[in-house]
Amino acid sequence: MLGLGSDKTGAGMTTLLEINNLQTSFFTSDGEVRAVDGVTFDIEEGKTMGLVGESGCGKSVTALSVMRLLSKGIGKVIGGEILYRDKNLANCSEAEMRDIRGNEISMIFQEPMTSLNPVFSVGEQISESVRLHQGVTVKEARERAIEMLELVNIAEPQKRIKDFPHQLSGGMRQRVMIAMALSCNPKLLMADEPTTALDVTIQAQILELIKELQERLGMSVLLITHDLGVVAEQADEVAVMYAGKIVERAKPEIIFARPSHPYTIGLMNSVPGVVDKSAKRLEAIPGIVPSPLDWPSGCRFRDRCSQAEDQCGRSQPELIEIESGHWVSCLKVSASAEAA
Amino acid sequence: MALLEIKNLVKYFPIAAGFFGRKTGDVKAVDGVSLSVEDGETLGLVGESGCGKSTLGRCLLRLIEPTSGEIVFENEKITDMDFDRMREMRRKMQIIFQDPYASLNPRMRVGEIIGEGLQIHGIASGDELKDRVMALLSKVGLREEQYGRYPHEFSGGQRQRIGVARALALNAKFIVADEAVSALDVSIQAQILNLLQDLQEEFDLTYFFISHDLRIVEHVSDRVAVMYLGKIVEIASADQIYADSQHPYTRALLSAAPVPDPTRKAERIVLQGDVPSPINPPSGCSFHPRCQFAKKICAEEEPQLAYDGDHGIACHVFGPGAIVKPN
Repeated sequence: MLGLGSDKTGAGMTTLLEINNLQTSFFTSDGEVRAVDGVTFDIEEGKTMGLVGESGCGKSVTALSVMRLLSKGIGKVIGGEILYRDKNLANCSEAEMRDIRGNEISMIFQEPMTSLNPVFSVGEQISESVRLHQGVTVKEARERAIEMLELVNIAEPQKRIKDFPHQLSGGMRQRVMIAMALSCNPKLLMADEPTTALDVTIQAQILELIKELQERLGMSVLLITHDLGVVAEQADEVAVMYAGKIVERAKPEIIFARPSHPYTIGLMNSVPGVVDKSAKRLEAIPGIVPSPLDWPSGCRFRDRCSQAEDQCGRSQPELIEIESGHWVSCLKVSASAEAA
Repeated sequence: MALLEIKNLVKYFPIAAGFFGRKTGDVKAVDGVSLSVEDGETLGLVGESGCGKSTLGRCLLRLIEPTSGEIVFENEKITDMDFDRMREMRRKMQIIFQDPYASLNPRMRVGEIIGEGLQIHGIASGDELKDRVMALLSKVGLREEQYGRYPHEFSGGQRQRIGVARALALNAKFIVADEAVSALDVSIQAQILNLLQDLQEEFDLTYFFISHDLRIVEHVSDRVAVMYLGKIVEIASADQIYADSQHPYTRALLSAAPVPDPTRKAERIVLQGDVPSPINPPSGCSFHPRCQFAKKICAEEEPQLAYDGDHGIACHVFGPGAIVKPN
């Protein structure tokens, strides 16, 4: 099977997760760090939302906010709504969240070595969440663990459940992580850079596996990545984040054909072969990502933007729909869209 | 003219086991590599983790002592040189490392880090040293007043610029860039790649560019070598590798890389399984257990790198003059 998805028609889709104006802060000794500042998007049932951006832009914090896994006493959702099937996760109690985590929404992380417990066998780790959430016996949970390892295409699952994480390769560990995340049939899988630590040939295996399981189990995926190639192939919709905000959102066919925000354009120009394969020189974005302790006023990209004008410093641009399903937050883009 | 030539280079790391540390085997990190790097070119080396590309890069500067084989740099056989002569040679051969956080001494000021080589080789001291370091700082896009800062005060991209300045300080001709941009964000990657390109033009540098990122290697390289389990399986011009690759591993590797174009539905060859252990590599062609074209001979006999013009391929089925045909 090819690692590419079939076209799913959008008819009769229901929204599974809706994030409205999410704001998350960390309270550190240096002051309040607003890592996510007004993020809005939704994920439909069975679909994949790709969240792209560079390190420090707030993509992982967005996912951790949904899971409410922010470090206690430091990180906090301070505004906005996280609506999961009409329940606002931002206000849920810890007990309610425990029912949702793993059971309804689960997460896989970038580093499969550090996110598995080295002193428990993979079988014990997979059955733990099954026993916790579904109240089954030890034996049933073990059966389920074997079934899950089979699902993620691990050979000889009966033997493998006794293995410890160090006995597995990076790709196998990520498969175990996926098995663990899917063991309770979640409706939403959040994958935070699931293939970044892996080699390309292993990445292709894992991405294909996620896609296949998604189709089989009908779950939605929030795919966080910095790789434009990965979103182009996996996502049904793409949101580009910069400095705690979403700067552009559209279907991949639109965003790769007509990137509109100067940051999105810059990002695509920075990767060899996206825009002009024969170009001898890359068009790099000057400067560095600003610190969240000190976001620039107005548009946060304006210091690095070649088209910035005075008006960009005055107010933060809103996310505006410039064509059907294509949202951009840039004063200049929305002005020219209005004029057209 | 070849600036650097390596012949049948081998690096085995012994594995010691038990109380007496008896040798029980070898990790065959680099297993018989021969290639040459032309003056002024960029040779890209791609491969997956554990294939031996970093070990090869380090062996070229003898930062890791090769087990056997020959390295000739500017017509001098550096594999025979003693410590002092080798140190002298390293003025012309430098390396930029992957991790800009780990490769700079946190207790040294940036000026000292960049100027250390100049001092060791007795090239400059005092005010002259400072002037030269400041010139290097501005060459790599840093500000002169950052001379007295410590590495932790810089971002990842800036640190990598410091690493580049350090490599340039002694007017090196040959630079091994070992995953030099892999740890950086894409927008910063492009800045560093452009910097490396500008410096190459200005100083006539020759790069040995090691990376696992196929798109970046295609962009920077004149020629590309593909490595698998300690061996070069294919080598050709960048255009040839990307348009007309022959070795099944190269093709699988290229097709595995995600394409940032949603309209293109790529024909993907998904390789099964993991890279085998270099301690006990498969018999014959080390790729044969994962190869869909593998024939009987592939498990029995090791294919040699054979050339069709400038295009080297090590494969029984797709190599030049192959006797076995794919079906």
